Amino acid sequence: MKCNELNNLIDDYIAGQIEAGVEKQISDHLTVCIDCRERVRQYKEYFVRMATFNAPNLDSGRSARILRLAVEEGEKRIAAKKHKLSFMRGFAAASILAVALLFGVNTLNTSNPPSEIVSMYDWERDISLVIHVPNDMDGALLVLDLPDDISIRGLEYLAHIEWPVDLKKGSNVITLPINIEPYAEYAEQLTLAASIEYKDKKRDFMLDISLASPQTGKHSQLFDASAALFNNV
Amino acid sequence: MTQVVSFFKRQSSGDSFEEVLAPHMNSLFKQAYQYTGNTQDAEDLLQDLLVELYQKQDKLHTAKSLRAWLMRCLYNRFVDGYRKKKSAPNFDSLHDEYLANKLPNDDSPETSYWHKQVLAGLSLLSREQRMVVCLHDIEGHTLAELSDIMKIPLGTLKSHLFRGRRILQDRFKLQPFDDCVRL
Repeated sequence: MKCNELNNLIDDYIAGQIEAGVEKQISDHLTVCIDCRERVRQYKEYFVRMATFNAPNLDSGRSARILRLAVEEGEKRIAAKKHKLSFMRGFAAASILAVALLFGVNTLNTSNPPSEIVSMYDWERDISLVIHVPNDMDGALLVLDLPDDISIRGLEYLAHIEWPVDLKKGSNVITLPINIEPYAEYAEQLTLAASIEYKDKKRDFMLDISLASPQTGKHSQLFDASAALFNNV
Repeated sequence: MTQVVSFFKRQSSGDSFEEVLAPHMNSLFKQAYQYTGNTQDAEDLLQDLLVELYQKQDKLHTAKSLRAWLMRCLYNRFVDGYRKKKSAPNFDSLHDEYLANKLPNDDSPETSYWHKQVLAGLSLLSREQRMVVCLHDIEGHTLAELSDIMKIPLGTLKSHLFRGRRILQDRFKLQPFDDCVRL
């Protein structure tokens, strides 16, 4: 037997799981090869050392506690995933349904009122205007005239605001962070005057904002622009 | 519909999550201890694995060889989750109250000493080397079994085992012999 052959069999040899004939060959080799004899000795010592290593047992109480905690945490994560999924579905559905303003270049060329569907929904006191256009309208000017009851957060002193927007073909969502005055909850309906100017053409719109009953709910929930408008969708 | 199907699948499998896993908890904990080197990290690793498994109960109930599958999951979790920590075993844990009561042969100071040395040696190994050394040289799995369980080529496992053993042997050589062990 050669040294490299013994190397391949050393595990089985030390474990005593080797055929008698082969074991004899190994023994013969070890009597004449000092290096292999030393290697076998080191391996035996190694296995003796490793045999002293015993991981502690997990008692049934700890085992049950770990399992129970895992189940509780697992339930929480599953619930969180479901909540996130339902929120995303709801948000996607709202985005699809909330077509706020149908505005096309072709409608600018006619004196007939545009076939507009106006819709808004409240989300943490933000109004989302969804403007649908059939073609790209870069540099269109969006103008809003705010009623006394509503102001843009951070720009409370402005009753009139206008800014250029690059509208892309399809739906464009513009989020307005608004504040509603406390007394606004007693108003049945608020109106936001809006217009879009594009290539020397201007179109005015009146966007109705309906409020929920002032007697119920928190202030942040009173702004319920979506309900009446979604009914038509 | 998916929920309905999974409900019936779960019903048909019979056992609950706890019932399925309870028989494997001790061996999983031991394996986790061999990987992490202390009881607290072993419990954390096991806990992380179980939380993950709870969310994948369909796989748990349909695994062909549950024990092998759990071993592989635990190893993968160890490699993924603990790669960032790079924590060496906490040898102080050898003297904590829990471990003091749980270590087999804990009445032997020499056993405790070499247990500590093996732990220290294991901390020098790569995760792959540690896995194959623990499961082969301590737990007694064959390389062919480990290759099947871990889905790692046999040659790769042999290489990890050879290198891991050499590191440990070199470390053991540096320790005092039995008759002059400093305890």
